[in-house]
Amino acid sequence: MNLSRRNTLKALSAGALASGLNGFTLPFANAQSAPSDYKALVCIFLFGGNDGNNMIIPADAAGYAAYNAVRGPDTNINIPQAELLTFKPSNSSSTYGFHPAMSAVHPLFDQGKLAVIANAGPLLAPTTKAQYLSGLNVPYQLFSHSDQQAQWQSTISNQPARSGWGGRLADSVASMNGSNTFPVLTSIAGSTLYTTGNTQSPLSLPASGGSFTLSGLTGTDAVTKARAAALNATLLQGKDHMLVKAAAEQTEQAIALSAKVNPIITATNSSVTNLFSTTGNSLAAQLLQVAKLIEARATIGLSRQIFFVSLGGFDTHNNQINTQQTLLGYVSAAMKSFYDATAALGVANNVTTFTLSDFGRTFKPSAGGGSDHAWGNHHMVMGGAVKGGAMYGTFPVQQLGGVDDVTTEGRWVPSVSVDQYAATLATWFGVPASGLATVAPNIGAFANKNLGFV
Amino acid sequence: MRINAALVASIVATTVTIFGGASAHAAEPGASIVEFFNAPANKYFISSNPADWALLDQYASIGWKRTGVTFSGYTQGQDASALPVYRFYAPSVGSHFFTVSATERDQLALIPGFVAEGVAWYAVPPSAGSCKSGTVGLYRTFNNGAASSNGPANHRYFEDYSFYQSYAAKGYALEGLSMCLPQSTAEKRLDVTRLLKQASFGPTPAEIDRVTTLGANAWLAEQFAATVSQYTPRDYWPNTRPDTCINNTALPITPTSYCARDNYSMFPTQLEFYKQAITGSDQLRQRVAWALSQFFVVSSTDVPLSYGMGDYQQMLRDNAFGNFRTLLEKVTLHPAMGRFLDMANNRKATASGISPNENYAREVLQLFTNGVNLLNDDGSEKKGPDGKPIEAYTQDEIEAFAKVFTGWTYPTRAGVAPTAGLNGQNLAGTMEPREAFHDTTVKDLLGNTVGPANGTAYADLTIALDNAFSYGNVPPFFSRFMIQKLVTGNPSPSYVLRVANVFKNNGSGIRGDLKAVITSILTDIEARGAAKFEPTYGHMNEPVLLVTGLARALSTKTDGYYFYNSGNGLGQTAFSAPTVFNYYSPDYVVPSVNVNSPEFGIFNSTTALSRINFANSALYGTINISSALYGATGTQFDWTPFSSVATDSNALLDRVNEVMFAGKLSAATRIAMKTAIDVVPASDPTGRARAALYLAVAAPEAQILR
Repeated sequence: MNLSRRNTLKALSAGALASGLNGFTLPFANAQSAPSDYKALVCIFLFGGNDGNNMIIPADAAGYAAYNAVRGPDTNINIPQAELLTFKPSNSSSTYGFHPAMSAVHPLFDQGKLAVIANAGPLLAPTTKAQYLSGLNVPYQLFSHSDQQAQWQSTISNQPARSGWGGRLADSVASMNGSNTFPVLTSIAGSTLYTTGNTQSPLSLPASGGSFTLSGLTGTDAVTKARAAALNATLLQGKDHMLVKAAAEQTEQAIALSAKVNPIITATNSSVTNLFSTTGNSLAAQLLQVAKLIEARATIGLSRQIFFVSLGGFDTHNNQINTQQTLLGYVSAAMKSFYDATAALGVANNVTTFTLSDFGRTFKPSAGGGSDHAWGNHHMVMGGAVKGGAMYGTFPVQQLGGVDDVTTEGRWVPSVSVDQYAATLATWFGVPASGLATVAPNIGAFANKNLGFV
Repeated sequence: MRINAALVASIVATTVTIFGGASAHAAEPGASIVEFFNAPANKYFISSNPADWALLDQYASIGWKRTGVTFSGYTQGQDASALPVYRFYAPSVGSHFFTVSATERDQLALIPGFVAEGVAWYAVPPSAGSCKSGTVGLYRTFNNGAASSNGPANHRYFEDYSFYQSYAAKGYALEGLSMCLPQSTAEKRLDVTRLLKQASFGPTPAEIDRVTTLGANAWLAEQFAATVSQYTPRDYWPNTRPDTCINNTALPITPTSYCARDNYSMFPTQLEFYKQAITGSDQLRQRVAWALSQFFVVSSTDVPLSYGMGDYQQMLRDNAFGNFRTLLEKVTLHPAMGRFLDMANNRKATASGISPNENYAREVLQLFTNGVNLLNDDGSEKKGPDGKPIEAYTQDEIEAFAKVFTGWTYPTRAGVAPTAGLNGQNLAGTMEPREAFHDTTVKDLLGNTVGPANGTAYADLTIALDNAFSYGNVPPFFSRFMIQKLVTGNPSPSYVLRVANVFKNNGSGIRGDLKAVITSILTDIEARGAAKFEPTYGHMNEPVLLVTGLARALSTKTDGYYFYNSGNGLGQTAFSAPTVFNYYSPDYVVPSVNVNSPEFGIFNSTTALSRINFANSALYGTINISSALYGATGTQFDWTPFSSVATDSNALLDRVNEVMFAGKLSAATRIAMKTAIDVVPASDPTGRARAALYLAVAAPEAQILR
């Protein structure tokens, strides 16, 4: 956060209180009004490129036969039909199955709390295979981890981006938080493009179990007090060097927020802790931290909050069958625990959780029992406000070299874009139609700006 | 503007200085020359007079600031060949002029509008256009006031020749070598400290002394020849830990008590890494190897066995000063990389519809050689007719490389009879070809290179690595990365170009000579010269360097145990990058200031606090000798270089400024630190040293290595 802006806001806030103006709010961009509700978006990034082709598998006879023709039992990445956790989307005549490791979240689909987004990915405009092959509308550096992560996190696929769509969404809704200067964005997974805004910058916190405070400075003796004072003084100096300034402001922000945040994340009386099994499951430890922060939403006092958590290891070129079993088990358990936590806190309808990942993976297996980098991929959206039990986007025709495969290895041209995915969530979050281009600058290329899943 | 001119005029009227009385035998230059800049007036000013400095320091409010540039001058009689430097003032433009030439002095005296202000300092006149040994040239530029962006007529002086030349592009006239100046020991020491922050795991007080005497070039020669530190070779262990291999905490411990930790985690490799980084003599090699380990990344995420990781890291050390092409092949054929990026046991397409694995093929092109877009030799991106970057390779070319990288298996273990089939995992040694699994079809590689049909696994590998190595991007791509790791996160294109040209040809026609590349990076004018005063220069000390920097400042003796996991909470667990994309991207731009600075990719509110907390634990905590390490000797700090001067807090701060800040401690930070230090009783010199070093680790001015 820009400190001078924060101080200005702090001063405004103090002035408002002093003059007894209850409900003082700053003028809103986009004519938004201060919402009385609380809404949070939780982004789960699956680093490495989750193989959606084994997360959502056609379960009826024809669909599974097409799957089995390419990923048969002798390929080492086959999921047997009998093991699928089946579901039938309310808006489809087909039956599908979740990966067998996902038994925890599977029931949420039928309960209408979980939706599947089929074959989504970075696009510059609605694109066909023929257009791709003619070089039309091709996002830059398809199949590259770093570039495709950036595109999923920014929605921007025509050139490298400097901000993420979570960050720009935070910029857009910051005014809904009134004079509260607590960061809209909190990452429990370090710095990412997703949480980088043009004006908003994220708070970064450790996963549950960590603390967020300077140690050794609480003593009231003269020596310790002088050391603490000197530390703060050093943060004000040398700022004519840009990197010194950046380091100083980040440290200053952290110290300023630690007094409020550390008691929340180190509290031992959280009501949601027991809902999570964090042993070995880093995503669960991160989502527990998010749940604790949502539990303390009155203390933090924001109307809109965006969280970022992640799990790595999905780059399954090798030994996919075992690796993905473990990882999707973590994802499933952590998501279910988190949903239960929001329900227990009475905010299930106020919190929407969704997945992102680098890219989908080739439908054709590769040597070593894995799959390679591809394009369109399946994702999940979870929450009480989600129009669950349904599938959005169009499931690809699973045929090598087929109508949806832009190569011969099973790289699907996406049916819906990251822009549409982001714009739908932004609309739920309270961004008006006129503001969607701030969040997803290329949304104008798509007639349908709301996929309708929430 | 008028007020500035008047101010300078008033200085002149009262403070013309003629140094005198210095001993003719003094080893140190008697005059310090400080440069100031006034941004509103767009004007530079240099002075050797402390009264001028004091006055201008008081006038920061109207724009006067020290630029950080200082020179040294002689005083009268200090050097037999030194002559007076005459100072003139031109009130009409409010500008000063300095000359060592009596002829020039006499000419100026005849020109109305120049006011002679006496002798400023003494310098040696250039002889035949160059400076005698032991002196450095001071170059003069002149802005005639025509270009409004340069402000009124003014001179600026440079010791940095490249920096001087860059002023031509700003519309300044380059007026050549004006005089020759001595260098003070303090200036030499600061540059040595900077060099040690760039080329080692941090300066120790003793090493600053030693290298100042030795000289930078002799130190580099010594480092290139130093005996290579060794990771202890460890025995093979199967991928799955046997139930018999556990951690037995019963005392007394034996070398094998902690079987699980010592073989199925990074513990022994990390422990030796920190121990040797903190105490080893081959500092440059280790530092370069650590940088290489972030270029050719292998992570414990997929290679969690220490015998393999130690073998891989040793290979990087052994080849750090060799040739890039040799290193690239050793990386490619190392089984730890084979495991990490799936080249081990990769095979040609099968009848059941399985393709060759593309993982290594993609990353060797994207990360280990060329990068995603075509580059000019200065590191900038080439642009196509549409103004967009040009992708450096296609998906088809990746698939061709994937075919090349088939038919390699894990090394046959000692004592095991070789077979024609694929071996099970063995992470040490060199991978072996198995032709039956190698794809022998034609491979269309980068550019017009074709790998012909029916080649052997090694023949195809040779063609493909030669192809990737000779492709145009490698020199700027690798050079920029290494500059970023050692010197500055956003090097100028000309710096990248100079290093890339050395990569292309070391002067003897050899491409990829890493020793030449490293020498070029560290001796470049942008590493040593005045670019260090630019407001975006340098880079943040990444967590490992923060840890080793503090340890080496304290001349630490350690068995490594205290440090092995110290980077964990700081965002940089050694040898455990999240992915092959390292801990952070070389292209990371700090959003708040829009500056390319890779290490900020892992600097956030959590790590901002944990970095400072590391200093608190290390400096104020109790470090016990571990009962979980066989042969433990613990960790001992040598406080003496700090505590011995700590009764005088200014002396302590001078030392901390040199070792921790490389001279970048600002006056205001110094005052803040002094206040805290002075609260600690002088009878507790170690306590004073603790406070000073804690604040130095925390201070942003010291966190940015410049």
